[in-house]
Amino acid sequence: MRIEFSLNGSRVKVDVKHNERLIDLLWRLGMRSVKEGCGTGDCGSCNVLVDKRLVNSCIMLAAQARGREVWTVEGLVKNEKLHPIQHALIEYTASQCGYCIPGIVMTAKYILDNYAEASENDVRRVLVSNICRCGGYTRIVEAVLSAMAASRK
Amino acid sequence: MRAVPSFEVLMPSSLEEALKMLAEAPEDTVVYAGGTDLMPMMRRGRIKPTKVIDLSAVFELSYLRKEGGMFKIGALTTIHDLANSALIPPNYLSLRSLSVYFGAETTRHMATVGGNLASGGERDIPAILASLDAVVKIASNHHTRFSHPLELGLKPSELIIDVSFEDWGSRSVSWFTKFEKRASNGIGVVTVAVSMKMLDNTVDKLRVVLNRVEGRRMDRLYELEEELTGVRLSTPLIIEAVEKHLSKVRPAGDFRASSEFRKHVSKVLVRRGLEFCWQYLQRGEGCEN
Repeated sequence: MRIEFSLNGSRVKVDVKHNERLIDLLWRLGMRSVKEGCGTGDCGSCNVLVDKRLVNSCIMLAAQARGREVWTVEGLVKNEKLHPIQHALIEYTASQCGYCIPGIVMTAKYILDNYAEASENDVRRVLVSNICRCGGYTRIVEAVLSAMAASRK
Repeated sequence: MRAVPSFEVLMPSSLEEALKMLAEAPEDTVVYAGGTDLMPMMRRGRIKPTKVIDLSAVFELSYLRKEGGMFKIGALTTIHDLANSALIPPNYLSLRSLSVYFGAETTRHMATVGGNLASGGERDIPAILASLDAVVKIASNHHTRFSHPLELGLKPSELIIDVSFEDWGSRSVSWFTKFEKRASNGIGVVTVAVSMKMLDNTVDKLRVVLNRVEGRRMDRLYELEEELTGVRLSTPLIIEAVEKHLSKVRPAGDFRASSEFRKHVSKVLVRRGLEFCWQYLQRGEGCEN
């Protein structure tokens, strides 16, 4: 079945299998930032934005993306320049093994877009969407707060 | 974890089309809304549908409105939209608190009111809606019926259309809590929903819903509701009534918590809910609207 959707700002026409998940489709299209962790919508490693909403791409069917606007980490990097969220994560050495980080970048982008004035508590509440097996939460939260402060300037 | 089974996706763009597809589809067909329950079930091999009806383009089932004195919530309204709706007055704390108790932000953007109701069991939406005396509208290709949130009896050819409940008014409050084993995004061990309406300092209407009344059955605590309706509340009265009626519940124990522990926590949470609602209404909060 052929679907059409917008990926990181560009229109894409692609054949999808009926039982294909959005994460599978994104991988096929080269979006390797999208990571599969639990596969059941618990860990947040596959988080992407669909129509500005933060979703788990491992439980969304590829067919459900038809006509929608999907953003992944690849779309945040312009001309090989890192996004302020990525800079902050590096600055705070928030990444250990790094597997959860692309999902966290998308959650952070969602926070910046929707809750720019959020308190640390609220930031933590939204970051519940992501599990970091290395347990590096403190620095992740600090990095996201710093990226929020930078975006307000 | 298994691979996603092979199935055919049907993509209706209207309710009429969806009901027609459902009527003609084989029995093992599943209806896919947010997928937050279905995808994990498929990955764990619990269901293996040959056809999946994707409802994501049936936009007409995604709405929240107030008609007359009734709130109407379309089945495909997401939990995020319900919890953050400007239409729901602030005294419906139960619905607001879904932002805290219901999964994570991602889950709340995907899971839908109808999906959570259809999944049933000890889920949050059935508990809260039962405490609000909500009515669920269900339709198939050839009939429409209305049902209680805890007794849907959904048939394979039926779809949940919407949920409606009468506005309890300004002198009421609706409360919900969940005891879980981690700070959030966990599975509830004990969940309680309490809705209370007061008139002249006496309880005019009361609904108390507990996730495990008998075994794994979620239900209202009818006798407790009856005992505290029409009376002027006091702390000793609440404590006594909770002890008397919650001693009768027999929750099933499992690996998350034993039956005794669940019973103890049920008592604590029901008392807390009743005291909270009583004090909230004593303070006159929510009475401005």
